[in-house]
Amino acid sequence: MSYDGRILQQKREAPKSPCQTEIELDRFSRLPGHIIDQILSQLSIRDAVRTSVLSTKWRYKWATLPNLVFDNQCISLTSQDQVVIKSKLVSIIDHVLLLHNGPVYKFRLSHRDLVGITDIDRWILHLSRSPIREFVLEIWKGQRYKLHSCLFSCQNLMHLELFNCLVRPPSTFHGFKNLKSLDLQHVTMGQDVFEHLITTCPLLERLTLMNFDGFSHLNIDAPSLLFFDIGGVFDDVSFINTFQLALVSIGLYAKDKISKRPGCTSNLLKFFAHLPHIRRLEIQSYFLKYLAVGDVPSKLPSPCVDLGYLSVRINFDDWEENKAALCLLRSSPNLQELEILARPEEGFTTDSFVSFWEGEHWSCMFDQLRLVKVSGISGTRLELGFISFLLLASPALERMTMKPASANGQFLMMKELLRFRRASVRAEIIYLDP
Amino acid sequence: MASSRKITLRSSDGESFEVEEAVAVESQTIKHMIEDDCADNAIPLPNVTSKILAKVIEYCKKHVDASKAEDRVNDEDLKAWDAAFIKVDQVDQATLFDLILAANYLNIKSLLDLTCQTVADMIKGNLFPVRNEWLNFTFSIANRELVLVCLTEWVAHRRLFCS
Repeated sequence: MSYDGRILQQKREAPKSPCQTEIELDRFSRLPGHIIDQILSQLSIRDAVRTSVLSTKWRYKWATLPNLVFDNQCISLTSQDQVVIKSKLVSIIDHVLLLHNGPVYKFRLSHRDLVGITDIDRWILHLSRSPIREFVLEIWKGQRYKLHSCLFSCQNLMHLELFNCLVRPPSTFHGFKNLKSLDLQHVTMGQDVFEHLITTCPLLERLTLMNFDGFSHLNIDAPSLLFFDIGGVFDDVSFINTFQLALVSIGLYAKDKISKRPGCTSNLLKFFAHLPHIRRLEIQSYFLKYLAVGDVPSKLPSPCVDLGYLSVRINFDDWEENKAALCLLRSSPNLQELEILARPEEGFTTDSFVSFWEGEHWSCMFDQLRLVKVSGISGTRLELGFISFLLLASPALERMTMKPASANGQFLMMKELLRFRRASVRAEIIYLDP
Repeated sequence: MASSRKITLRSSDGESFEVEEAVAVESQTIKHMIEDDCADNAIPLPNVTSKILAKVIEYCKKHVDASKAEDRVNDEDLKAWDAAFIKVDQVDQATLFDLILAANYLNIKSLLDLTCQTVADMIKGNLFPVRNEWLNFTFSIANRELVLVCLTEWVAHRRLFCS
């Protein structure tokens, strides 16, 4: 056999007290199987497989590990050619899967040198024969990897996480009946594929989408959804039957697609129509601009009584965005924490509505607002008006933190802030350096 | 807090330990026994000796105290205490083995996690350094003849000769 010579040649240092080590290891080998699995799961797959040489009793203990993780710790790092590392990695995974015995419940593959290889198809085929529950695949660079169709037959899947993949399920795919958590980043899939996927996963509780392409209408029909986190470029987002959705974070990364259609139904109304129990909301990038499209109401028909945390990125120079923010604040009576990130943009003038926020505190009262963070402001009259509004409307305020966008005009801004009346006697105003 | 109930635990060698209910229910097993009303007299623990039970109680007590508002201990300090509690020269390996079995039987997840991590670290420390790619080992173990051939390398590990 070709391996004889190589193995005999290797030098090895003897362990310090071999007999004592053996006895102890032998003792631990008598632990129940699930505990040995737990112990070996604390080791990298590399170390876990290496335990097979510790003694005869440990020889196959690793082979029943239900969780297999192949990441950057898999191969001892030496500065080698990427092609060599890749072939080693493929060889290692092939052999581990072949020698493995028993079900695989969790599989994670995320190695930086794993670039566009078709060997993954073979591994997915092997794994689809196990009742796999968690599947994580991250292709760090290169083209999107087209997922092998076998993955779509894994009906025990509860968590699916993909990075840089192309999702095109076969026509026989009828959803993942047990899927609770879906995390797709840098993925490509068709609009119909996306909608079909969401509708056919009835137990879906967590959905994360980042930097996707191939679909731009986010119709989320997911009755069990609790957590929703997206960041990307899309045309619209609408929720259907999402009455349990509690945590939402949305970032719209480009504003060119936001269509200004004055006189039509407000996006704000459409967005909040199916979110009665929302508890935590983050509006990032240009999403507020999207929400401001249409006739912005003065406040929502039913207030967001459960909303305790709100984070909004706002362009104070845009009148529509100010209106949208005011509508949202008027509809969040039980807010406890508020974060405002100011993002000035060129091409806007605020002369006509500089006094927008002045006097608005009469229409709002935040009985429970304790913590406010404001950043990116430069001391314009509108921004200061907003801060004054907050201070007057929050009788329970404990701390307001302010971070300006730049060092310009700080002193003037601070002078103004010092003057502001506060509804809360306990309010601390902390001014941070830019 | 009002006077909490005291629960008596009896070890396999007949020794009784009186602990507060809050400490006792760190063990899910004991918690279920109490809920099922089997705790009027002492709760017998036939799988745990007094030596081990004493250590388990010490662990549970510390963790219950750490989460009380008055003596709130931060996570770093608690982790340091855990590390000292399980330190190998203070806890011999036979005790560690028994602690694992006790944590499993009594269903105390945090203690089981701590002890398993300790064994994992020990194993990591015991894996003797090998120059070649570990891939070779998977090949060697897959083929018994090959294992016998390379036994000259593993002379110190006589166990490999016995099957």
